[in-house]
Amino acid sequence: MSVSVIEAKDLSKTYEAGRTEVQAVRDVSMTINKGEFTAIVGPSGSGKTTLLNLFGGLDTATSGSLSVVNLDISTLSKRQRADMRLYYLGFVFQAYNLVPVLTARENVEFVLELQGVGDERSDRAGEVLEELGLTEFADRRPNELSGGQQQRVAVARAIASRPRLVLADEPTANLDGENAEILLTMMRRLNTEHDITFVFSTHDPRVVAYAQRVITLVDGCVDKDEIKNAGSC
Amino acid sequence: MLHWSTIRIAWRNLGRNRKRTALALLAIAVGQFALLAANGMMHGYADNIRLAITGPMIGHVQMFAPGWRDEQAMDLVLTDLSMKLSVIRTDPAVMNAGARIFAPVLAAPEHDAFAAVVVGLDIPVESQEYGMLSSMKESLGPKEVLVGYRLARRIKAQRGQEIAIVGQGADGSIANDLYTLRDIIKSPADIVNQAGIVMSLAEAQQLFVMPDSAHNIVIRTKESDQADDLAERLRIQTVLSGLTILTWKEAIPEVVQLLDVMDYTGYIVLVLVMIAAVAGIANTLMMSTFERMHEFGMLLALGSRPGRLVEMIMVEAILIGILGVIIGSLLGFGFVLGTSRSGVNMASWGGQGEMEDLAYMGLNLPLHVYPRLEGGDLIGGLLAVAVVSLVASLWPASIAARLEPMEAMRT
Repeated sequence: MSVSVIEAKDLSKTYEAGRTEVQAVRDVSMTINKGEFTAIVGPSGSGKTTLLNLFGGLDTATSGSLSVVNLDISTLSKRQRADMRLYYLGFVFQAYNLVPVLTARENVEFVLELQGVGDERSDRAGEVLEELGLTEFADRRPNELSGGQQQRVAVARAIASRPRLVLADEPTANLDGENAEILLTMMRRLNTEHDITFVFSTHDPRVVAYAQRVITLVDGCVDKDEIKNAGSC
Repeated sequence: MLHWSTIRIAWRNLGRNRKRTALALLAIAVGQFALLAANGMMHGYADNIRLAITGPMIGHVQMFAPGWRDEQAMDLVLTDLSMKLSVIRTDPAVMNAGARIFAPVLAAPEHDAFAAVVVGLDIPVESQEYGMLSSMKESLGPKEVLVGYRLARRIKAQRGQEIAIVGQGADGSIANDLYTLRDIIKSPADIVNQAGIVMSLAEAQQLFVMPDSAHNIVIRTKESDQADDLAERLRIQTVLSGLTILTWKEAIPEVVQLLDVMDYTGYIVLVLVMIAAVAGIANTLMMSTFERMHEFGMLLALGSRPGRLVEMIMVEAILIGILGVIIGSLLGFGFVLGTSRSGVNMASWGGQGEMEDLAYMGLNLPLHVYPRLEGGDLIGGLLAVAVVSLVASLWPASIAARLEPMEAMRT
């Protein structure tokens, strides 16, 4: 039996932009199960990032219900949402968003420290960096790494805390084709080997090819929800 | 509990905008330097005042006949002087005790007569360190006197010259005699420099008909803090009963107040240091916080608690404060250490080369100051900057504490 990681029902998000209201997400209902490798696609302004932010507890829905890792987001306080992100979710951002004054290893260790991981922190960070082929760059700061390397460090940081769900917002947007493929291959491997659920937004057709499931958003609504063959990459 | 990574991030953040950090450090360092330098000078100058008071003029404890201090009448004398002095000198706290006679006279080196004051002194006692004649190496012979350098200039007196002195004896008789000017002196006591004709106590006792008598006794203690206890002990001595016995603080409360004011000056400088530090740190932290909004948003998105961001900003503020204090303290200590032996000639600051000393209430206050520091000076600065650092970080920290991850990441 499939275990759901995300359950959204009639989820909507409306922003106020001056005097007008913008409906970024409209009545979205979906279930994402454990171990899925799901792409959310759609043109700019279609609501991809808003939906991911809602899934990550970074934003609150205007209406509808949302359960992430079996937690009803609407009932969580600000602090509980922060704890949910810390212990159950991993984030990969479009612009890498590493702490610039920390080395690659320290960036990975930082999240583990937030989690309260003790002496094994350094070993775990080392293992994850090795898995992503970053051992030789472990002691470099972000400004000493290429874009592809920085995004791999961001992925390492996201999975080091052993999350149930990784949310990635346009993870390949700033990468060239080669680095985008390397990153997606690694994310896919982590998905299959560690059974980590990945949900990522993209409008890059090359990236979509790696996804098991592709959810297309148009004007904030789910236009298509396609399940592709497993291992389609 | 403070996290190691917080300190690491805060420390490295200081290097992100080095010019801005350097400016903040400079503000604090200059403030701390000013605090230490000003306090060092202030302590040195207060030392000068204390030495001028307890040394040549007032001593640590002094005694005289009731009413003499106000009237300065010739007949208000301390009798049985030898016995009184022997009792005083047996007290273990007493370093030395010397009797003095002060008598207004007319002095005539040639044809014209000038007003002056004969000061009869126990020459061996007053020649010691901090005495009225502390610079004097030789003793005075019979019928020999010394003249203060300003009086000598005024009356055009010269060494070896004869001076006729006319005054009133303690018994009301006319006191007059002819003396030889042995030397022109510069004394730590302004009254001697301005109007003093110094002779030995025995000579003065003879001239003014004051056998075994004097107008006051000035006592110096071995340690300056022994004055109060010594005065208490002397007040219960039978042989000294009926005399007015005052410690230096009781004798000149105005100067004690002046010393207190000088201490307060240190606090004023401290407040200025704090203002400079607040401005420097707050400015740096505010700019740094606004620049890192996106980063803070990302940290919140990852699951950081707002308290962690507050901790980060506060640690950064404290690091800037500590670094600034260290730099300022090194500069301040360097200044005080470098000038503590040679001293600082404050007279030269005003461009008045001739004005080497400042006279205040008959005391000659040297303007050559030897700076020194007290333990509290450094601790005061450290505590002030620590408090100020925290205060300066409150505003940016409160901004960080209220951040919403998405809003912050959009900036």
